[in-house]
Amino acid sequence: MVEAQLTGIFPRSNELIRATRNYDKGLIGREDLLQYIRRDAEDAIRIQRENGFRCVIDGMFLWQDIFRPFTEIVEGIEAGALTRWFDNNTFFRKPVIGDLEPKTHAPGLNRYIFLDLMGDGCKKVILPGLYTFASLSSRGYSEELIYSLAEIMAVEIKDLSSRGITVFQFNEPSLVYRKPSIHEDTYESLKIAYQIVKKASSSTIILHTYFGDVVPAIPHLDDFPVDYIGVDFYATEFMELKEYSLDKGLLCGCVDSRNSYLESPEKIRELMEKIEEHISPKDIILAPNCDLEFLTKELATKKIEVLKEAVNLLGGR
Amino acid sequence: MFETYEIGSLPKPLWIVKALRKERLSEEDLRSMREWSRIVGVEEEEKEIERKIIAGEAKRKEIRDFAALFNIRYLESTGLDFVYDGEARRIEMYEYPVKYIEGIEILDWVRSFDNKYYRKGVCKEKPRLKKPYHVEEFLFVKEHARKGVKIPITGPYTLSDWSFNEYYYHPDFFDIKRSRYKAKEEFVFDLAKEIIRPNIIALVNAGAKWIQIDEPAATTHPEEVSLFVEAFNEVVKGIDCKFSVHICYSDYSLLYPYILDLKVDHYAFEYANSGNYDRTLSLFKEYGDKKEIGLGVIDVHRDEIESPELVKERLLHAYYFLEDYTVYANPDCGLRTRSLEIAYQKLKNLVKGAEMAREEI
Repeated sequence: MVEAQLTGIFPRSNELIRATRNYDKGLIGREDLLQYIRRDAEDAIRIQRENGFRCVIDGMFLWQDIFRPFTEIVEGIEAGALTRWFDNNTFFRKPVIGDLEPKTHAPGLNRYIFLDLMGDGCKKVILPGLYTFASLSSRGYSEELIYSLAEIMAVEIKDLSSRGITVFQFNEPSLVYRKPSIHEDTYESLKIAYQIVKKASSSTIILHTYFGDVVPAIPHLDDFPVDYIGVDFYATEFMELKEYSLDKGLLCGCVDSRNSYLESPEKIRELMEKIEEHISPKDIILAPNCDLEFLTKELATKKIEVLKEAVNLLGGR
Repeated sequence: MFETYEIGSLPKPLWIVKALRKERLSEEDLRSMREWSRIVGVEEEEKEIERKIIAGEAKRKEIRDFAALFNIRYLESTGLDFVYDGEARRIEMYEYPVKYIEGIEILDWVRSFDNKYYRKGVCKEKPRLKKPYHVEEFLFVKEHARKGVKIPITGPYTLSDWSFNEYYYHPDFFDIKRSRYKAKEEFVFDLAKEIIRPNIIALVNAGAKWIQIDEPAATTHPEEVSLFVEAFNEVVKGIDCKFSVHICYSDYSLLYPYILDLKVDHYAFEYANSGNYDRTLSLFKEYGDKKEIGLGVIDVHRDEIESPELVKERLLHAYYFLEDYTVYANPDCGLRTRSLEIAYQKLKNLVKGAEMAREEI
């Protein structure tokens, strides 16, 4: 059964945008701003539910970027220089990482998620991938760092699982952006790191790659202790990927979050049929290739409707 | 050596924004307008526009003219060698030009970072220029400026990269990369030929001597850097003017070796934000790429004010590192996100630091 899910930060409404500007100018206070944020979160959840999404995210409206909460809740991580987010006209604050003490880390991510608004159904949280987090930080990738980050994530996942989250997605664009040369040993270390994460709960784990071609990485990723691998079909050539089969579920980034062009659900169905024929994943989740916040809220909503139509064409939920 | 300039945008004072919206100016707004006008030396003009604003008689053009004159004097009074109007008439570097392009429709806001946003456009038809959009502002600056003038204009690659592309783009899942590149190439070259080049020609015909083409998106897609270079060269070919290129928040190593073919006189890159001067400066040496360098010595996204000593240190470091290059001093990017006070002090320290550096060589 095919379903659809979101993969990252949802765009803000014009009302929230105005509120954040007013907040920055000191015209409204934090409590007032939070009311606008909650309203946007409620709406993002409503849009997902109304379009038949079984598993929803809260829209991530409290996340200034994918790393920012960690710069605020983890001792030893601070927000650094403004840095371009891959090949986008968006930016993030580079995490500046000093000494980490994962053993004493106390969970805090729950304060950034509107758990109370997400209802009783399946709930999903999206997190920075361990490799991406390390390699985009001031320290860069090291085995020691990804193990520390994995332990911190494990604490958060355990806490969030106890609060009802059942799906965790790790966003790993750095694994595929511009075909990085990643050593065999690094994949082995990452596997161990994701094992630490996986052991923290019985939740579903998705490792999503985007902004780059997954083909060179796919033989390694198929061995990772995760339930789904995510692929950006706007950066990966299907004709190359079809040479591989996948022993996991596939999160299929088939709607382009970086262009307003509305995809044809028929063409998505055609792609899915080819995927099933050639790659044979255990399961398929249709998704935007990345955060919908590259689009306006109106367009993001239309993209979600495209996903719903594609799911319907495929006989899904 | 160490001549100084600002990259482009300045903060828009609340009293200008309110006046344009026909909102009533508070006592605090009026106090600030008078005080700043005194500081930069436009008291007489301020009295006149204040009278008209209060009486509800001020026309939008008059308010914008005052804003432009204020910015020219603001920049001049910091001591900069080259000035413009702080982009007082532009909404921002993308939305303003797109308003003058038929075929691109403006959509709502999307986030750039934190609580900063810009409006995206979507290309729905082949782009056509309604009219050159910087000539009038340039003529105003030319008439009033007492210093050298450098005009910033957004380049074709960035305009294309920051737009959604529905007219040219028809994704094919079974040949995705080629379909995307081809769509981008057609879009960029149409913008270069039909939009930016006519603007540049109009500016040069109006007397422009130095044009800065802003291409912050140049390295966004590393596989398309050659496209940026070819489009830039298409824009400037055969035109007699000094051209600089401004690229910020980028990995400059991605520009090489393609940028060696760029028909440009001057690079204005960002260094202060990343703090890694040597990495970028080494590229110039490594590739023997000998252009004038605009050294970003002021971080425009933080309120901490760089001391003149720090500016001097950064300039001298680049000067000795590069040996016989011509080095200019400038902020990393436009200062529009800072307050008038912070931006002013940063620019004054920039000028002071450049003076101090000059004395030591």
